[in-house]
Amino acid sequence: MSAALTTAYRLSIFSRVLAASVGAYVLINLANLALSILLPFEQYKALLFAMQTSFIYYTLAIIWVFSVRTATKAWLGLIAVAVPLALVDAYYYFQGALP
Amino acid sequence: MKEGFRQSMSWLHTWLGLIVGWLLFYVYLTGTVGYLDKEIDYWMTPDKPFFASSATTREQLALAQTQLATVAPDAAVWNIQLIGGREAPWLEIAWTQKPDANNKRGLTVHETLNPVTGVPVDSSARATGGGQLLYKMHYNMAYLPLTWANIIIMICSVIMFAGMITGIIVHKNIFKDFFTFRPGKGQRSWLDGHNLLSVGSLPFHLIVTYSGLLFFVYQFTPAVPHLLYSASAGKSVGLQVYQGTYGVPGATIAGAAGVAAPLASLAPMLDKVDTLWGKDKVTTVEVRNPGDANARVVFKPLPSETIAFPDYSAIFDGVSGKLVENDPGPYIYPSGYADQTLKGLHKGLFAGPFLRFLYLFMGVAGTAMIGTGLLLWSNTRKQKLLKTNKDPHFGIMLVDKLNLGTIVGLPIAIAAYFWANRLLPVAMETRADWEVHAMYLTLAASFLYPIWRQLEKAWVELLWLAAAAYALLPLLNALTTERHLGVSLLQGDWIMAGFDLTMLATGLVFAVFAIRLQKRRSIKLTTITESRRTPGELATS
Repeated sequence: MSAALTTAYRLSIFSRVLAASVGAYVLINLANLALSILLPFEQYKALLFAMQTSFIYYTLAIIWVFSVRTATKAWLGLIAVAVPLALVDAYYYFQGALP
Repeated sequence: MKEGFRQSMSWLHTWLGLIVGWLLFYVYLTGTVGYLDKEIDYWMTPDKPFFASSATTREQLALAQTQLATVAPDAAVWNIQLIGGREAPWLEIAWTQKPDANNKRGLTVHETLNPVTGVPVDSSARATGGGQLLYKMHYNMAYLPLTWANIIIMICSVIMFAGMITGIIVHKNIFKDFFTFRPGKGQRSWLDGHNLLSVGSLPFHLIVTYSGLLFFVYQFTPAVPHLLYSASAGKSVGLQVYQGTYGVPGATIAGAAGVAAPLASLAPMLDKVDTLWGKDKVTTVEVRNPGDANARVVFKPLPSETIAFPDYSAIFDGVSGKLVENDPGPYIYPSGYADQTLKGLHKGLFAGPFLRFLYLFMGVAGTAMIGTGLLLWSNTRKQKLLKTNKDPHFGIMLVDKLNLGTIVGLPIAIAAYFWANRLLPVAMETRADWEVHAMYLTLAASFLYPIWRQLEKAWVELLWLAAAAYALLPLLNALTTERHLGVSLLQGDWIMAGFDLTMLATGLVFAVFAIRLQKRRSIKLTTITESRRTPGELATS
């Protein structure tokens, strides 16, 4: 491990920690909102279901962030999922179609 | 990251565990203690006498009704707690006065009754947080504003969950680990132990962590419900979500009519409830508007009746004594019900003695899993350094000291809470507060002690202190109350005796650890001195 403790390594870890805490958290919020809107249940059921399961998605996101080869790839992965979710959320939000 | 998926997960598991390990140890231990919250309450209120026998449930109800009619005829609500189940060793009553200018909710007064004669027992002197305070610490902590404490615990639990999932990924051989323990092999044994503790109770750890998180669904992503709903009609977003999730109670209970009418006898209503639910299922009886034409009597079932907290009740007209509504509780849809069932599993209120023992056992295993994990972190690093002949750096030494302060210090602190309960003056003004201060001052001292004491000596000494702090509790109980083992065992006061004996056993376990560590230390010292001798010295000796 001592050989790996270069500045680049440390920066990579810092970036991943940021991705796992802030990035993944934003992603989970987007996902929760999208699930609450899209799931074919009544509103509260959809919301509760999304919130109940959010811990699982969050864990998966953390695992993703720390398992891929580079920190950049970790961020790109999060963004790739976040963008469509954000589009869905924004679509309903600006239409005023939120229940 | 690292080469390979499993390696990077191992790295993640290690660091996630280190970040929150100490706090998780605290959460797991105080939470585990919570499976005995009622028993601890009982031990910490020794002024409430033990009653070897009690009247029948019907007679208890009549005694309580007579007492309440005497002391609180004008109250807004009466509450009667019947003896039964583990939650209720005493016949207790409480009444809430009608709200007035000084007290908007109305003042509530509690009384414990002799379950044979109905005479009130004076037991209010000793203020204590009891087992309730101890178990609530596992999510409310202490000294911090509740919101902050809850958020800290939530973040730790999220990391705990991720730590468990990565821990499972790291294990190729879950099944094999279950049967693998190689004692006396240093680092290898610690790792085996950590695996065994984790894998052996894995379903428990998973469920208790995940269900623990469910208590925080709303706090985890509060932005989402706030985007979906807005406060309206005097209902906050939180309340709307809560009622949407758990339903609005189906039964509406009539308010006071303002017309006086005598309250019917409660005992016959109990017969009716018995035909509805079966015998001895009632734990509390609530009377709304006693003495009013709209008096309503609500019978509630024991929490051990269902895994999810039972929310059904039977409601009677207090004047005619007729069943008004057999309320099944609010309708809850499947994900709401899953939520409540998982939370029920977390609290374990439904568990009888055997299941409760398993809960405790697994809780202790989980606590030890976290403890061994923390020890592994620094041991692994120290061994690596030993090979290269380097001294452990500051980080490792800090972890070592925090490990000792947490793993042995916290149990000592909890013992200090029990000691304070018996030693602080009964009439002391801020007594309940000082019980808590005693606990946290002791914890602080355990963190400070290894700063100036050599680590291995400090381990042995604190383990002995823990052994003494627990093993002497029955003696302390004997010296400060009339409820010691000689009395409690003879009377059949099993909760009191059980607590004393459990503390004694806990003390012995700590003593065994202390002796083992002491032995290992002396062996290690001899080998070190041997190896430090030069070959010439060895030849001459």
